Amino acid sequence: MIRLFKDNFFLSLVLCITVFFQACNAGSDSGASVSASSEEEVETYSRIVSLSGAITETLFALDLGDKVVGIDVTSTYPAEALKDLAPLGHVSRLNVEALLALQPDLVLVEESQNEQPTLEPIRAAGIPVKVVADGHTLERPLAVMDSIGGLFGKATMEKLTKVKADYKAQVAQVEAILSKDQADTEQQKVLFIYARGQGSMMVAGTGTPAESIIELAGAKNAVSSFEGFKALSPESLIEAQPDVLLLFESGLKSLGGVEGLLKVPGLAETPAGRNKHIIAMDGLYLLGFTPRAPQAALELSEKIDNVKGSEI
Amino acid sequence: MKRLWLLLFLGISLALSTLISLFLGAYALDYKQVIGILSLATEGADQSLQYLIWNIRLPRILLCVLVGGGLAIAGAGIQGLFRNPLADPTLLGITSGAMVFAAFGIVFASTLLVNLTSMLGYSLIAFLSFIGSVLCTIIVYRLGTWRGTTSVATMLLAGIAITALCGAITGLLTYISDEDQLRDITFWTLGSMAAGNWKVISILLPCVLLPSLLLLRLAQPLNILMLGEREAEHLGVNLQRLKWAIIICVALIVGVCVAVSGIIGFIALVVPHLIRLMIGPKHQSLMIGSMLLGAILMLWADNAARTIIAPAELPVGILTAMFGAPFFIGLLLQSKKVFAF
Repeated sequence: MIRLFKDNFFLSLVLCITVFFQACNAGSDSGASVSASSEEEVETYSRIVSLSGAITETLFALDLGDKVVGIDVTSTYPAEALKDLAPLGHVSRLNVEALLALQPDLVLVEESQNEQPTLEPIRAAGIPVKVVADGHTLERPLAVMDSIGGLFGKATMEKLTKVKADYKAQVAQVEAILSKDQADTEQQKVLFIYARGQGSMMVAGTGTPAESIIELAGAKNAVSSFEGFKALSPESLIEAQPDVLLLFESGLKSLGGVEGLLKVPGLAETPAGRNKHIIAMDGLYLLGFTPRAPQAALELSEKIDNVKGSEI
Repeated sequence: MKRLWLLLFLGISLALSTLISLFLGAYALDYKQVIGILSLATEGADQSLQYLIWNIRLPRILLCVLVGGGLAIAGAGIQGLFRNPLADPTLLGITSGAMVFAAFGIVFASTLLVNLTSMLGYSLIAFLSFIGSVLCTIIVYRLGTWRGTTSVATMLLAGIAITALCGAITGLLTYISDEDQLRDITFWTLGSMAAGNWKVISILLPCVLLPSLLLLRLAQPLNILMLGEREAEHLGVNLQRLKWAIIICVALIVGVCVAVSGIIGFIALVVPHLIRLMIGPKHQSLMIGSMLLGAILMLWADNAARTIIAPAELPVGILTAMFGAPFFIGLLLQSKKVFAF
C-alpha cells in the first residue's frame, strides 16, 4: 500500500492539483458583476450596505443616507449619521452572516474590491453587488454620483442633477483660486507619509492618490523616482528634501504626534523637519476623492501656504 | 478502558458542538427556525434563511471540523515520527512554504500572475499556497535523505533552514507590497474559516480523510518507533517507508488546510500533547483523540471568531492560540509530570 503510494506520489499530486484547480476554476465564473442599471430596477432598493467610505459619503450627499443599513470600516463621514449603523469591518474580512442579517437588497463596493472572495457568498445569496468606479481625480466623485444615482428613481435624479451642478461649481471655484495661487508662488515639495506606528511608514510615489491631491493643491510630490508606495528610509527622506510633510491624522497619532514624527531618523535633516512643517488631515477627506475632494484640495493648499508663511 | 471512555466522550462532545454551532451566528435565528430548516420542512421556510444554514453555516462548521481534526492528527503523526515534543508541521517547512507562495500570489496577483489570476479567480492564493507547502516539504525531505535513508535529525535542521529562507523571502515580499497587499498578507497569517463552501469541503474531505486513515494504519509502527530507530528496525519496521508515508500524509493534510484557511496556530502542536497527557502515548487512540479534540477546539474558536465582535469578524488564528495556550498551561501544572517521550 505504502509502496504503491510512493511510486504514484507525483501522479497523485498532479491529480490532486488538477482537481483543486478545476473546482476552483468553476467557482470563479460567478464573480462577474453588474454595474449598469436597468429601468425595471429603479426605486427598488431600500436597504443598502456600503463597503467604501466614498460610496457612503456619496449616498448621504444624494439624500439616500436613510436607506443605508451597514457600512465598512472606511466609512467615517458623516460621522454623526453613521454612529448607529452596523460596522461590518473591512471588505476583505466581512462577516457574511452579519451582512445577511441586515437583509440588504443592495451591496455597493469599489471596483478594486470587486474580486474579494468575501463577496462571493453574498452574490450567491442573491443579493445584487454593484461596483462603483475607483479613481483619484476630481471627475471621480461625479462618476460615483452617476452610477449610484442611476440605481434610483426620479426624486433622486433631481437631487443628483443639483448635487452634480453644485459639485462642478465648487470644482470650478477651487480651480480658479488654486491656479491664481500657483501663478505667483514657488511650488512646495510635499511628502506624504502613510504611518501605522514607528515600524510601518510608507511614502507615496508617483501615480498615488496622495500625489493627485498634492498636485491639485498646487504643490509638488517630493518623490518622483518610484511608483506607488515604498517603505520610508532615512536616506530617501534626505534625498527627497520635502518642504512639507503630509500625514493622516490617525497616522500622526500612531507615531506619537509631531514629537514622535520628528524622532524618525533622517527627518530632522529635511527642510520640513527643521521647520516643523507638518500637516495632518483626515484620511477619507484627504485621499478618498469623495464629494468633498475639491474642498480638501483647497484646504490642503491653504495649509501649505500657512506653514510656508510661518517660515519667514 | 480509560482511553475508550475519553474517545467516546470526545466523540459525543464533537457531535454536540457541531449541533450547537448550527444555532450560533451573527444572524440571530430562533431555534425553531433552525430546526425547521434542518428537518427540510421547505414550505413556509424563508429562502434566504435556508441558504444561510445550508450554504454558509453548515459548510463553515464542516470546514472547522476538517481543518481542526486534520491539523491535530498531522501534528500527532509528526511528533511520533520526530520523537520530539516540539515537532509540528511547521518544522517540515509546510507552513512557511505556503506562506511564501501565498504572499507571492497576493503581491503579484495583478502583475506577473495576471493570467493565472484570470483562470483561478478567488482561488489563486489557495492554489499557490498548496503548491508551496508541498514543494517545501519535498525539498526538506530530499535534503534529509542520503543514499536512500532519511535522517530525522538532518530533516529537522533542513526544515529550520528552509523556514528561515522562506521567512526572508516573505519579508522581502512584505517590503515591496503596497498597503492593501500588506493587509491581505497579515490577515492570511492570522487564519480564517470564511472560505467554507461546499466546493471547498468536497476538495478538503478526501484530502484530509484519506491521509488520516493511512496515518491511523501507521499507528502500530509509530508505537514501535518510540523505542528508538534501531530497535524499531530490528522489530521489522520498514523505517524508510514509514517516514516517507507519514511525511506525505502530513504534507497533504496540512497543505490543503493551510491553503483554505491560512495559518492556524496552536492546534497541530498542542492538541496531541493534551491527548497524550490524558491517555498516554499509544498512537491509535492518540491520533483519534487528537482528531476529535482538534475539531472541537477549532469549532469553538471559530464560533467565537464569528460572534463575539459581530457584525465584524475576528481572525480565528488569534483565538485558537488564545483559547488553547492557557488551557495547555493549566494541564501542565495539574499533571506536573514530564512529557511522555
